[in-house]
Amino acid sequence: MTLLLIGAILVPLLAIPILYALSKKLTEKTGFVSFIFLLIPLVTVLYAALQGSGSPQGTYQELYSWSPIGNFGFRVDNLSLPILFIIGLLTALVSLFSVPYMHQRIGNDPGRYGLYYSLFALYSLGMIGTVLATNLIEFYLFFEIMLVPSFFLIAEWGYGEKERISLTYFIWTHVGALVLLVGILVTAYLTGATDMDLVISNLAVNPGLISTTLRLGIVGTMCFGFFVKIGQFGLHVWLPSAYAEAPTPISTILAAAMTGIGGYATVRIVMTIFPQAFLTFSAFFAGWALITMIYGSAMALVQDDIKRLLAYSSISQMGYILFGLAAFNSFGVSGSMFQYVSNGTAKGILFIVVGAVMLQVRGERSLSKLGGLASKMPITATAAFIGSLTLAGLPSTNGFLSEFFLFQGGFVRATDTASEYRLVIAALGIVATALTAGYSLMAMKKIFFGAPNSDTSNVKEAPWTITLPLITLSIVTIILGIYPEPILGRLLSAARAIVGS
Amino acid sequence: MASSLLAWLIWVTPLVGALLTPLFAKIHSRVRDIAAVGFTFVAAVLATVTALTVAAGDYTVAWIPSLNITAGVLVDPLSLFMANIVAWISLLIMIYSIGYMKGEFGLTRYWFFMNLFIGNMLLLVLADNLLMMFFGWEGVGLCSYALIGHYYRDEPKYWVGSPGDTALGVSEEYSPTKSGMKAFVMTRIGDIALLIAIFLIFAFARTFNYNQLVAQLGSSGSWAANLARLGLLLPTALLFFGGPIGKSAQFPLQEWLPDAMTGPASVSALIHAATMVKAGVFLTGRMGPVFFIALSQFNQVYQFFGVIAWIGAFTALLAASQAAVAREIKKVLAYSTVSQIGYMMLALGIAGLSANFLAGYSAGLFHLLSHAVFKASLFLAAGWVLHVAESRFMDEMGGLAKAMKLTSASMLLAGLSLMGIPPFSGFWTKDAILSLSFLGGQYILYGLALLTAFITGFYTVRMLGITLAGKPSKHVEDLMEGGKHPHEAGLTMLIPYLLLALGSLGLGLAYPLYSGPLTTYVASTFSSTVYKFPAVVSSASGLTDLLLLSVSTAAAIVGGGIAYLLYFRKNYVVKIDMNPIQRFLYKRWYLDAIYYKVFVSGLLAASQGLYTYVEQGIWNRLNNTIGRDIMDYSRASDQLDTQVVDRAANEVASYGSRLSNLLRRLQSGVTEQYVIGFAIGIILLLAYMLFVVGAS
Repeated sequence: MTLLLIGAILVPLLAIPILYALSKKLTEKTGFVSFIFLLIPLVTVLYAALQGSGSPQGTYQELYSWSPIGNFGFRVDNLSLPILFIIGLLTALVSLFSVPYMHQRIGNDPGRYGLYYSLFALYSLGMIGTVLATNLIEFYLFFEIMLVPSFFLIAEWGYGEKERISLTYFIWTHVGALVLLVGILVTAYLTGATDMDLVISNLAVNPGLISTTLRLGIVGTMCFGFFVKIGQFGLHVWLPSAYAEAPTPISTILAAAMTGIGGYATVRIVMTIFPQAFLTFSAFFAGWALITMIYGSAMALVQDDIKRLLAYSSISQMGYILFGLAAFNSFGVSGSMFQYVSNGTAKGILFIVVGAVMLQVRGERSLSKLGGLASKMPITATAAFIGSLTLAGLPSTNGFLSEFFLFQGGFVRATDTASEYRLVIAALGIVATALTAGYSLMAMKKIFFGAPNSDTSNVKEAPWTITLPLITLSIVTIILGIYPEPILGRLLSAARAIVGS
Repeated sequence: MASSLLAWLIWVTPLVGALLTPLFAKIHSRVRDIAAVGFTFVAAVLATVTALTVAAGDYTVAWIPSLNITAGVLVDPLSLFMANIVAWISLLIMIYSIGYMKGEFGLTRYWFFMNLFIGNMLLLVLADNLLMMFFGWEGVGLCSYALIGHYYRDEPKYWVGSPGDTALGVSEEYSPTKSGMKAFVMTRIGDIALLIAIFLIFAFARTFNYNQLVAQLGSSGSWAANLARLGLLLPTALLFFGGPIGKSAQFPLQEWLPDAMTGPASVSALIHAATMVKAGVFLTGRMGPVFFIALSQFNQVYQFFGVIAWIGAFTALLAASQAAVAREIKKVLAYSTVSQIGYMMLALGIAGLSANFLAGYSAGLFHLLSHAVFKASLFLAAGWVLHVAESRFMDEMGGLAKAMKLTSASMLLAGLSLMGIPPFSGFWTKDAILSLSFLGGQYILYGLALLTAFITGFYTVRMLGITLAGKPSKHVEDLMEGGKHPHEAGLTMLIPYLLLALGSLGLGLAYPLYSGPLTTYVASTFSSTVYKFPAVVSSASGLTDLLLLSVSTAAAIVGGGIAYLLYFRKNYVVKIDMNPIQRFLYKRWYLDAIYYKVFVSGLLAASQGLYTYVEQGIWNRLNNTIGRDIMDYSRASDQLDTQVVDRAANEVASYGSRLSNLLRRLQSGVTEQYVIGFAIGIILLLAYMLFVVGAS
């Protein structure tokens, strides 16, 4: 057996002690080593995908016996590749972004860099493992590993009431995960399997293993866990503070890479194993998603703190993801997962931009105190512009196509079922996109346009460790916005396998 | 392929030019400027060559194969008619920019967005499907946002509106960045409607391609039949028209355009004459016939085209009335554009309402052509005038004709065309619209249009009179005392607007010669057998025609005559206290202020209320309580386990206690041991799994 995909987990794992040891000497430059270590999983995953490109779903997997539980496996396929691409890209780029940012945050305390980068590597490992997992228990394990280091990162280097905020972050998502675990254990107990494939085939052979009613219950618990993660309205209360007060590189990962995994997991686990039960809930989910979209955008409109604005924007964007899934057709599901990618690039860009601004303007993140930065930080401003447009769903950015197809999914569902409710929900969802354009352009105007004030008149462009990630993400955004086939084609094929046409 | 490549390059060239602009800027600013104009020139030549040599057809390439979506350039008379207008007028505006923008700040950005603008507009008109069209559609929106807000530092001299202008307590002054945003968001409201329509069409048609959409109408299970079955066909058509309403600044989304004057005059010319606002008319022209056929299968033609016609006629009057009292020269022209586009929409609406679809249809498109020419000329000349006068206010100009004979002549020619005086092109094309309204039996619409013609005559002459005739204003005299004498523009600026003004005259003189063949050419767009337009009914007698012609011309002349008496003879003085009607018009019928109160202040207040009462009042309080309780529990953690009976609470609390212990240590710097321990634990677990369990 070739040891390929496990490398995507082992490399960040081995990186932990190495980064820790090197940090004493390298101090803030440890980030460069972290960058290289975290690029390896990306390359590994892409290479593995290449190996699997012949199979119908582009599947490449490695299974390691994990008796008596089942198999401890790693899988790349059409569904997970786009997600892994974003996680791999962002974790590597954010390592670079951390170099100047954490230097400012930590200062001259060499020991602390080791802790930061070790935790960061562990965090990355958790996310990659969650997406690669083929087994429900394994999935849960990585899902929790993802939580622990992020909790420490916020508690240690966050802002404001960081202890309380990190604690509520931990409690909410942990409780969500525990509820999810209930669903997983019930499923495993009743089907006698924990490997996802085995669960599916056992259920196919004997659908009576789990009654229809119980399926609804299981879907309810699982979705609860995942929706806490993506911060659906009502389950979102931990989110704004956590994103706003986390150190900005961690906010970037939280908003751009981590939360969306909840959406991915909903497809990978809930919709794949219990499609009919999910479909039963889908009309309700569509309405819930709409509320989340509008609510998040409305909250974003009235924020003065840029990070909090982006946090609410994330809530809203995750509403789009759920909306697409609730359409329960190939347009909606593929658009929704494409939206993960778009959100990854857009939020990645925008949080890094905020970091750049905070770094160059003495930690300032209040919209009312900024202004006129466009001529001082042209590259950052251009990237921010592209990021805002992606968020607002403007054509030639991937944000347009992802939103386009997920809304197309909503309308196809509405016309297929001749449901007025679905039609109104879908139409209102598009109206909500105008709010997105409103708050993202308003933020652009307040940060970058107008005349520089006394705080912003002597500002310089951010260092290359920030502009390089910004440029990279901007290019990805535009390429996928014009030629989406590499991502969209895969996602469509995956979605058709799960929900039909 | 070789010849279809030409068609593709029409829109690709300016986009490539835009992308290369920063590189050329690195070489030399002169190279950058010339190259920018060069790319537009190539596009214009390609547009003409394509029209003359490339066979009509749909030239596609693969785009999103997993959905069978192709990208393509549709070469047909309509698209090439538009592409040629767009490209050639843009070229003249680009040439003008060389002189006009000399020494301005942010020029690389300027050229980048100008070419991007032109490229996107050409993409919009040449795209063979709705999705690709929408790329261009939003692209021009983006570029207009960027160019309207070109002077993003918001210096007061670039604002629009008189200092202190308010309506209903809402400021009517607009800074460049504010206008840019307003334009973007307001047109987007229309785009949302358009998108919904596109989604609904695609849900059944499963294609975005125009030709396929038309072809499907021939079969019984078409997208139109399916939409009609759900009662959605007419709503879809109306929502679709929402896009053009926003883009072409028609009622009720007309309010963004008057404030969009904060950009350089060349940008205004581009937005008004060649790109952006013409996009809406084009799209109505592209899909109007499709909807005509679709709706006629279900007897809903009148509702749809009635809405278009009424919106057009009402907007024409609304905006003209505002132009009649405006104080800024560019704002007069902006209101005028809104009004003139109203005419075009009226024509397209009348097409569906009257027995003669093609006559109304070509009248709308011809007016688009003649408006593009004279409005570009007026904007470019006005740009020079306000540059010379160092003011955007007409009452701070005056008496400029003496020193600027050619500019004044140019404005006069283009102005006469705008008024619709024979033999200028504006006369023919506007008159065609009015006649068709009358002959189609739409007497109220005709009345509105006639009244508009009267006001148009008035505001045009008023504008010319205040700015060019009479004695110089105090402001101009001060400038002259300071040694700044009004003078003629340089050739790169003068030639474009003079050429356009003469073009307007030439197009008018030659109109009887080319109108027939051009109508046939444009009509040949609808060669598909699915199109079944009513047979052309013979037009009314020559006498009726002549009478209608005289009436509309007389209206314009009377309007102009009144303005002549008021503004050419007397020296115009700004009136501080306007009468109630003037104030009502000046404050834009209060529409702008009402929109602002409802959609901006109202939305923000609602969001703020939601934030205060729901987000902070309910959710945050809940969250803080949980957080604080856990912290409290954990402080008393020693006894807690025994005291709390409830298992769930116990669980939460013990987590809390462990966490807060961690937090305590974290502050004393012991976290590292935990993390290392945690990492080692995972390494051991994985190692066990791999080498011990995996081996078995």
